[in-house]
Amino acid sequence: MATTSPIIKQEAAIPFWRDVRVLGVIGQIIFTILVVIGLTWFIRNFLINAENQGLQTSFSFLNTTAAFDIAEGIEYEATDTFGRALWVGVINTIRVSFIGIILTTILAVVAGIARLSTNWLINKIATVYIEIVRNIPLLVQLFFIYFAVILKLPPVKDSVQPFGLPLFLNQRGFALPGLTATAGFPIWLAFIVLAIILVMTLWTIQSRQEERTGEPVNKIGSAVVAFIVIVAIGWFVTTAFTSNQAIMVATSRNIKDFDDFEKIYLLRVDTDALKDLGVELATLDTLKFPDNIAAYKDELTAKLGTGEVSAEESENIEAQLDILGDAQITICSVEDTVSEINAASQLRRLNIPVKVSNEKSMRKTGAAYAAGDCDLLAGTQAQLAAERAILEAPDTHELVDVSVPPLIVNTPAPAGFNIQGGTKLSPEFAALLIGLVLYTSAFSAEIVRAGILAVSKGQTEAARALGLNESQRLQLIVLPQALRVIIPPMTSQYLNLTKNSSLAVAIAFPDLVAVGSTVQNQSGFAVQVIIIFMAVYLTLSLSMSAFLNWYNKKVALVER
Amino acid sequence: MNELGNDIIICNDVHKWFGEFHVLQGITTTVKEGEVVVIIGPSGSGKSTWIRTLNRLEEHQKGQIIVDGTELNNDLRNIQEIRREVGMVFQQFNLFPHLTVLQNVTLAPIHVRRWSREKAEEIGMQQLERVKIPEQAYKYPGQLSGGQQQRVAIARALAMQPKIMLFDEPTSALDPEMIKEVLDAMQELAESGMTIMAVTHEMGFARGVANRVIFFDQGNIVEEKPPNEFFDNPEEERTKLFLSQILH
Repeated sequence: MATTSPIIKQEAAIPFWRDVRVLGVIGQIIFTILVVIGLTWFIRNFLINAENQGLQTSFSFLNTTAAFDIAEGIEYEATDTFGRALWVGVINTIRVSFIGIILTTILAVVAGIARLSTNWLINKIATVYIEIVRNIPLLVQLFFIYFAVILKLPPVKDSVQPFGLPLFLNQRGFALPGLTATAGFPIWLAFIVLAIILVMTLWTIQSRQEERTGEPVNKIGSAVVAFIVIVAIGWFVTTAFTSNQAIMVATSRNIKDFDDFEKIYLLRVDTDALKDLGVELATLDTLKFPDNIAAYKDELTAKLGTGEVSAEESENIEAQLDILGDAQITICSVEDTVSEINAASQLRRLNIPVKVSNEKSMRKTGAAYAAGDCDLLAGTQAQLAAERAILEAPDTHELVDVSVPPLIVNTPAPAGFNIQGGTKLSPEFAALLIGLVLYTSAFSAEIVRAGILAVSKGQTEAARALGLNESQRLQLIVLPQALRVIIPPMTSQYLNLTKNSSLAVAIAFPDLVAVGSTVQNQSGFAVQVIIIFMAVYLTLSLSMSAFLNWYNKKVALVER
Repeated sequence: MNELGNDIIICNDVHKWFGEFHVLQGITTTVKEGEVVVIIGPSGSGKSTWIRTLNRLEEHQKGQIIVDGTELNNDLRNIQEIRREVGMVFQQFNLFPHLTVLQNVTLAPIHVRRWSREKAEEIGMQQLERVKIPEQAYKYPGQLSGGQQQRVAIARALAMQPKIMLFDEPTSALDPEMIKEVLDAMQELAESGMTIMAVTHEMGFARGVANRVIFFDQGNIVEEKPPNEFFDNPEEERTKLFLSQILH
């Protein structure tokens, strides 16, 4: 160390007010103190004022009875507590936000790509959509969609059915096909998890084998086969062993299964009456199978629809349709239960026309059955056993246990002045969902467009030079890279959608804020309700951000 | 020098305009199978644009280009057919940063040639070995040096087993010490009999490897000759001036 050192002043001579590290710590301490003082002041102020005005600061009101109705959502009755009412609101908020986010993502990607399209028409349509929607306040759009579009749809019996799909749009909302989980669903889910674990194990084993022997093994093929086999076994096992469902029928009917209703239905078709109406014998002979009857009914309805029939003839056709209609099987069940959906879908599967006569409670349903209103009573085994016990002559009725698959496809079907089955969206839910999705997608589409433009031109050129076509280029090169630019701003849009769902209050959809406002009015616990609002939205937003940040890290580019 | 085969690229009076600017002014020339052609010229002369018309990254507006017996016109099928047979290496590498080196190399063979993954990976690894970086196969482009990236880009083009390779200033974005590794890879390729068209400022490569040097200026070919003749005995004034500027 004897070499000539440059002139450096001795260390340790820095006074603390010039030491950047010390200054940093001091700054943070001062800031923290200020925040704590501020918060203490606010909270103290609130507590003192609350006490002066006799406001209660506890959350005990959550356990008192709400005494108001909520139009839609999970199970809830007016006798439930405020806490339960708010929970219904939370679930409704989550439901509309979750579905909204999925639809927004799809629409935003389509509109964003369309905006970059070289096709003049597509490009202009996307531009007009984005410019109009993002420049009008969401509240105005919600009013427009709700009052001017959905409430102006035709009444239920004239439901709009776009493209002949099992979709029904009317002023009482939308009915679409849905999936209904039954008692066996969790068990089937366990089978699916088991299948995934097995497939992954199989994949690892085969990969090792492949590496060892050097011979390619059809890993995808065996994985798919294994998965399908296990899931299918799970389906049948669950269907056969986990049902808690039953139907009650008159013993004299001799019913062992839903299939046996076919005989009853066919017997009930009054062929003599049809013969009297002049139906040919050859035609009558074909009416020995439900499929043929359904086809014949369609034929008659179509003939009636052409308008080329005389008054006399149309009367005749209507009479025939009435006779066929009278043969239908009537189900008594509690509205929107698995029992109802299962019975109706099982019979419809056999092409037997069904009329569902439903009530809100098992008690009333049982009474309707006892009065002889229907051919069968559908419910759970326990419910039906109880109902049977209070029948006048229990011996003349029997319970038949029926199997239920873990998932039932629940397709809506028009039935007189109503739409039966399916997943129903209320006009309020539909309006809110459509409004949120259209509005948020307009902004998100611009984010998608920016993300795509952020991928350098060289990437496109390299993809083209390699001979990739346009859709491969988009899927394999552009979108995966655009994603990392898109995700952070997209996260804010998802959060916006969730928070904007509170505008539901304007069109009376019972989301958290709408329900909360009622709770607040009825109970008077304004501050607590607002604290709950904040806590719920904060939790939703933070968990969403956490998930998307994790995803963003996952898709980030690896760099040195 | 390689044995030269039939005409594989034919340009006949090729014109292109960028708006008012007449960038290609009637290029007429042919390239034979197995030939190595180096294109030199001042910047802005249109040499890059010309080479990019040969696989339709740029559209020509007049004249005729025939590549491997297929005419480049507005028929999408012809364009795709030609792009399959013509590999291209860019100045900025243009590797796909979200894919590993091996995925970069096998992407087009799998999705365009429709080869099985096994076959594509086998050929991809062969090409990576050919450019001497098989050990980088599972890294991402961002983890490689510029020279390594450009060699991956060469392997990526080669994995399609093209008949023609186009190089658009492949060494211009590289640090000097990395230029050699890329030029070595190109030289090996040339010696294997590949048809090559390269826009480059590497005069050593032009002199040592090319069958023909094309001097390009103001949207057209000024002079084309075998390298020795070209460098030692240029005819045109423009060529002499250019060479005097770059060969100090």
